[in-house]
Amino acid sequence: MNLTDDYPVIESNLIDSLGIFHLVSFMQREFQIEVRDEELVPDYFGTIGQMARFVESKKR
Amino acid sequence: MHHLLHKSASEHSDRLAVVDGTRSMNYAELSRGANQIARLLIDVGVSRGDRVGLYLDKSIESVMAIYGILTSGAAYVPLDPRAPVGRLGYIARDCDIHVLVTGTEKADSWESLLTEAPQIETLIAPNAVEADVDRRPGVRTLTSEALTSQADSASDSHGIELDLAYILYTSGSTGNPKGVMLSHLNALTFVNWAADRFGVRPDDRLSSHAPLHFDLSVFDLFAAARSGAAVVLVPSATSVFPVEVARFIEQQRISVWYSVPSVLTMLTLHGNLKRGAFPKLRQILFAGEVFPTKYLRQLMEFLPHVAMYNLYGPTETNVCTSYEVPPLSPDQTETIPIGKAISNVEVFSVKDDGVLAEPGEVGELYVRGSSVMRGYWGDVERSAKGLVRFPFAGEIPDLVYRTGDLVRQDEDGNYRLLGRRDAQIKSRGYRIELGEIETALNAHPSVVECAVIPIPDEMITNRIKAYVVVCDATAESDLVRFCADRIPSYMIPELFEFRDSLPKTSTGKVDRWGLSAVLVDAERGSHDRRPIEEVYRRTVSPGYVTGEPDR
Repeated sequence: MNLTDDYPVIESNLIDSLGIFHLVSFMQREFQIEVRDEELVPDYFGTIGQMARFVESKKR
Repeated sequence: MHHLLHKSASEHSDRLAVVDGTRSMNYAELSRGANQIARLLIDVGVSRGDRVGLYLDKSIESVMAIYGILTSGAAYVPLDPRAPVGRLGYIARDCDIHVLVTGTEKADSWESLLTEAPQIETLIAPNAVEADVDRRPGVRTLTSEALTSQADSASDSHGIELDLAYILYTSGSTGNPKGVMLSHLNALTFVNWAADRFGVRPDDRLSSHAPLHFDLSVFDLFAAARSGAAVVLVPSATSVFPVEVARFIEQQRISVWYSVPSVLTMLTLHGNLKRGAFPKLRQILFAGEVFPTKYLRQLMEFLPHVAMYNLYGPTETNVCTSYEVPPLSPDQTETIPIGKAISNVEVFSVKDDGVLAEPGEVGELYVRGSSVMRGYWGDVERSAKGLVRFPFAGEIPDLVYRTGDLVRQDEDGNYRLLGRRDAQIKSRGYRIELGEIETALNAHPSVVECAVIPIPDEMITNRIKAYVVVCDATAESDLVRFCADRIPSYMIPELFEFRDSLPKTSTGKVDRWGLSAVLVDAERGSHDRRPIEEVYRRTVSPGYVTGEPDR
């Protein structure tokens, strides 16, 4: 498996419902951002690329 | 069980039977499709009592295949499409699957599964077309064309209610999964009770959240079919995002939801719910693990119009008790009971001295009645340990199931779950034998010894931690990867700790209790935000308890 920026990490079941909360808590700590419940959606978390863009938009 | 579908097809032919994203199918279509699958199965040599594997994502095709397999007189064996192929190969060999219904989404894994299970002769892929399929020598691969050329009228196989309907494989303590054999009667005992108890109607829309290899799916599919209601499949990506789950229930106008509590806890905490959300929802059923009382209360406050039910039962008994949750007082912290026996099922608890436990006394829960399984596939020894002679029988001998769960009955007759007698745990509703994880780790050439213990967790019941002694520089990531080829992801330890040795009991066994105590110490010094007292209390009391950590 090639973990590219556009690999569907949710659709492929690589990240499950528990994993996503570990991920969010990591992001909040690492990047000093706050992820609101309504932001936890496939458009922002479906791929690594989408997550990176989401974090960047929050940092701005 | 398939008669539930075919009967609804004659009474409610135009009613919606299954919704899968933008696709849907009415009862007449589902029944005709199931008949075609049944006829094709019979054509390729499947006969009454055979096991047919299901290896595809949950979809209209998989629902149709279940009914097709049952209609042909065979039993279905759902294989977890996410599980390692090695484990699935074991299952396919264990119950001697020769025909597999699959889908193009699993085509990349066919080769390795066929290598693992060389007795498989036929693949049926309803969503594939002839031209696109890579054929393998020696294996017949049939596609949608072969299905649609079959007649869609009923093919009556003469079955009886004691015939096997499905086999569900659950975690086994010796390292291999074990196949729980359930008959049509076993399932119908539960389905008939449930459809009546919850008053499922033709205008209901039932969610289907649990995967097909998980027995919660039996309610979703068959209670819907019995009532002529629609079952709406929850896309697997949806359940990862609590706000998406909320949107799904709202937009799909779900009226009966059934899932493990952890999904509902996530929905409560992160679903952005408003009081009075989901006006169409009338019932929430949950099973598989303990629902933390404080989150259950919060959910009930959001959804005052929804009736909530706790259902309990190991796979071996379908569901055997139920409890309708009354309004919970703000200061209640105690876990809710598992309730009382369902119709046509009897439960009782037995103390260590073999005497029936009175209300207030702790005992092991036994289950008697027609929802109790036929045994474990091909395993007389384990069957005999689980199914024992009814200790209080009169003249007529009878078998009952020992759950291994410790319970206490309240004065009002409701049972409360206290813990396990053995090393079986729950995590996210999945039932896990710690021994199966240890067996997987021990297979690694660098692992000298290991012990896997549960860490109580409010959200998912237990997280899994492995203590490992290795003889070289093997890293955690190596062990995770090694496990991923052997056990499903929900069983892979989340935490690893490397040690020079493991504490032993006087008999030389690994001292899980010693490790649990270390764990409590470690939690105290860590950055973990959970209150220590709570971790301590939950580590050494119910959940994972009572004298005998080793089997």
